[in-house]
Amino acid sequence: MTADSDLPPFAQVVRDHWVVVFRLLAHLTGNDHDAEELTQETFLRAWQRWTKVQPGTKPRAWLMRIARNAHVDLYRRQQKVRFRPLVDDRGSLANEPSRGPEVSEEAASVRAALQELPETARLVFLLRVEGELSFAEIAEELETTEEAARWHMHQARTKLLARMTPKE
Amino acid sequence: MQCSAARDWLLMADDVGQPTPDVASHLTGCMACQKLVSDLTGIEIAVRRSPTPPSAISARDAFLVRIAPMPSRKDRIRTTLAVCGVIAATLALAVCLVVLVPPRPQTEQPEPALAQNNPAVVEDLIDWNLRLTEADAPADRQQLVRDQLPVFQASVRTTNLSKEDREFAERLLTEGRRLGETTDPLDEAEMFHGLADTLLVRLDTLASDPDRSEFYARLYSKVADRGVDENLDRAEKTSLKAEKLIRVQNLTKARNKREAKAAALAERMTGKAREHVKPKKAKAKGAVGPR
Repeated sequence: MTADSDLPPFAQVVRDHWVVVFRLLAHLTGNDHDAEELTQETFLRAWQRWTKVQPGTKPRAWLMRIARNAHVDLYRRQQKVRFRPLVDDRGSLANEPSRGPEVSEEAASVRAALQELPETARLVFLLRVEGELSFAEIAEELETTEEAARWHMHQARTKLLARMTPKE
Repeated sequence: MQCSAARDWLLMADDVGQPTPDVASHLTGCMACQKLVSDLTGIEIAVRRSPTPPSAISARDAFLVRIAPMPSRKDRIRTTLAVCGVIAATLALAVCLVVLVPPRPQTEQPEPALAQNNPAVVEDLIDWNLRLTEADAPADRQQLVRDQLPVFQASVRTTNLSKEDREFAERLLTEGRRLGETTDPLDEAEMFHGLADTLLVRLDTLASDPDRSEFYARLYSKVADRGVDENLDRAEKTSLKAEKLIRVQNLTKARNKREAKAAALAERMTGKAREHVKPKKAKAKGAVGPR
């Protein structure tokens, strides 16, 4: 049960998946600062367990699971799971000059829209779009069926359409 | 197929750009469902386009250093001995020079301070990214990354750079590495468009400084012409699926909007900086100008 030859070296896993994990967490938490902290936490936990990973494990799906757990733990610690105020750092993102005005406005609007989604719908949408996991993999991660995962995607896309597309 | 069935399929699809034959046939005759495809694609593009802050990349690099294996005791002793040897040789050489070489007259200018910001590495990195995007064969790109990435990484680490230049240089290192792995002109045009946007913001703050604005204007011009426009042309020449066609249209719109901003900014600039930033009429697709 040690990291076998079919698993890449851990440094390669860090290089390949750091940004994807960060982006998932940034969308989940709604702020870059928490996302950076949680990304570190995720890879630290992953590093500690890397020698026990089963051969054949898909690193990205595995990291996404650790990231989600780290996210839940953080908000449990902060007692924000149920009473978390809506995070809206539209101002801070849009005012960040190094990112370009158009991209920043768009990014802030995307972030705000994602924050309004129900937790599971947001997670399914992000695991599919940012994590590029299949619905079968998402279902496995969330311990549900593929149909249920698709239904959550339906919810997420419907709500995002209502929020992000201009009314005619 | 009814609209409601097509709509449900699209809202639950793995990829809205890859419809089943039934859905595809419904889409050809239904404007409302075509708009739904376009809106859904637009939302996913917007999510993927939201930028990753450079600090996340720096944190990753710091983490990689943290997990790098420590050298063994034997290696550490060997390294210490080598360093001591180099120091001893340098000291001996310095003593010889002081004794043997006569002092120079005092009329020479002092050497420029080392702590000066040296953004030339940023231009080198942009040229490297452009060489990568212009290399057609994946093997050539991989070779360029293998040969030059370590050199540029060392260079960024050891060069004095302002905070903004360092963040931008690190972003160029990441993008260069990514260019070594893919050859999709549309992805690359979108990536360079992001870089051009950042440079334009930088230029906006430097418009009254002719020397520095000339440097960043030159970088902007390279990225906009060879990075965005040429890749966009390449993407338009390939046969594109519906999703990509929408991305091309969106990027063309964003590009035209950026060029309108560049045209307005050029009015505040002088000399070569102005020439670099001013959009070239020949390349403009669609109306370019403040809207």
